[in-house]
Amino acid sequence: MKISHTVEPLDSPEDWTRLTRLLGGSTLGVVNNTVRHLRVLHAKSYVLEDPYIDRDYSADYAQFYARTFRTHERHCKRVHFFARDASPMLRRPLSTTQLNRLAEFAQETYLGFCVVRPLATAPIGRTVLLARAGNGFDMEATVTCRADFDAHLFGTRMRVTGTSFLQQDTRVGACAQVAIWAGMRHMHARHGYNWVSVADITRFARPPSVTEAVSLPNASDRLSSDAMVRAIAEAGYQPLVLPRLDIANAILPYVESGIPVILGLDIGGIVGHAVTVVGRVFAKQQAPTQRAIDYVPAFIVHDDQSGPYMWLPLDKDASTTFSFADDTIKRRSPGSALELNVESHGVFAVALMSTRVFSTAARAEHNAWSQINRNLNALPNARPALAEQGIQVNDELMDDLQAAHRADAIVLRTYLTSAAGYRRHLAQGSASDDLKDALLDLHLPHFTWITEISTVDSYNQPSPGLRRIYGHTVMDATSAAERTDGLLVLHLPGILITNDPNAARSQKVAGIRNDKLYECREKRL
Amino acid sequence: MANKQTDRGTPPKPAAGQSSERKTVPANSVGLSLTITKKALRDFDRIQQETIKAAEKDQKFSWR
Repeated sequence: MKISHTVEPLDSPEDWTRLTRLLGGSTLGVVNNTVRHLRVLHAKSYVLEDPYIDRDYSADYAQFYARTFRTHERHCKRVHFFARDASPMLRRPLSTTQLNRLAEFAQETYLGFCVVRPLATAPIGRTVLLARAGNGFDMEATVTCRADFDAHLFGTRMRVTGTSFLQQDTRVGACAQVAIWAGMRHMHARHGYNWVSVADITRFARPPSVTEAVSLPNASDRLSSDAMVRAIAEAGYQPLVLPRLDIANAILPYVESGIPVILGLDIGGIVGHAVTVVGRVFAKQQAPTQRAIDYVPAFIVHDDQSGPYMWLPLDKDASTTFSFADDTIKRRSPGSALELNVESHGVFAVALMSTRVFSTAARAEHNAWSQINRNLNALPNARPALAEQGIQVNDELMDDLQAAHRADAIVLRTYLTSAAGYRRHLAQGSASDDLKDALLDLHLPHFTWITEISTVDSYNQPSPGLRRIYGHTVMDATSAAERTDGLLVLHLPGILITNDPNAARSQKVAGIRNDKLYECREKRL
Repeated sequence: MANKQTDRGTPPKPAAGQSSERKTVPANSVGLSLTITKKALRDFDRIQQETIKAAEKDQKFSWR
């Protein structure tokens, strides 16, 4: 028995129609949006691999499809997408030279894959496509929850960077399970957490509550909020439910950290729809404000009913202000289409947190702001006192920052990182040599909350490479909420305040020579 | 021949692997601090209570 490999072009409208049919047909919105994403990626050809044994579908099959009277296919198909014509790569015989060519070709042109399940109403199986870059004037879209995924063709490794996507089948799991699955698959690929299937998540959510017990198999077509939280905890994470008030602001630090957030959208009634937030869009503001969330007109989400990398506007006006067009999530009914947005529909959010993190982003930023505020208020007196002791702040930058503070024009951006990630960013970034020298050998906990300090002018830049910070704080993410020594570092222009929670009289101020503005962290693999 | 005055004015180079000399003073001696204020803690407790109340309301939802 052989696996068949067929190459097809993606040039003419007929080619795209053929692909749409292969993926399940144009009556499914998720298929149309997957195809639309491939068009934006400028896919030029695909290779159909048939049959393909998919681990996720096999888990679903064992859990449900193998136990039905009606016979279901066991095997899937897999479609690999390329940015150039792949047909020369598949010429036989498959010599070493030919396979090396394929490896090189894939490195340059591979756009990802889509598993096609033998399920007429839910054909889109595990799919990883390259996330789109760019996006319009004065806008930057970043999928922060992205990881490397490998696929193999004739034993040749092909790598794509993206976020796993899946369509719900409502037999093994609904949108709640699939939204959790997408988040957990990212954490598996990026950080080595356990591999879990949709069937596992449904099992983790047991025992069923009244809500899950209204359908058979139990919990197959919905999960309650409690059951979602239970499933996340059972899978080895700390579920963190985020404040419903100002929910977009609450979500942002986790998305900036590369932590997937499951977002529940109220679409009327008590049955809502869950999506996975995997990134955010940054837009330069005409009248810049102090809140980091005001620079984010949309989150990037995986919506198992609409498609991968969809945009969820922050409010009802964002998509017209920024021309999001077809990228947004719409609920269609005869004669109308309701575009969903965070402000009007977001009511429940839960982040997949490590069990080693003991403080929240809200607490970290609140703590950071409290200390920044207090120390900037103290600086008019502290500067001469520091100068007397031989420590000179960077006058120009400190004056700028103090002026921004007086004008309520300081922007804070908070994210969670590991000590290694923090040092790597600092070492590779544009901070002054003396700041690097002072910070790179500091003993830090495994997880820290970083809060970057910018002014509206230094932050309001469309490209992450142009955004600059005046300083930052480092907070111990393993400190308990009631402790007062969580803040370990506060860097302001020319000075570094450090706190060793394990030492007496531990708070010290050091001078930083030749200090300067430096880059915001940009999420990289 | 080394100039003695120059030698005295040049800070010693740190040995490999050691931090360089850096002027450091206790934070409280210049009026700076990293200790969270009681007000900030109270504010955060209030926010946390609001979050719990909202989360209890959201228990009514199920997701599909």
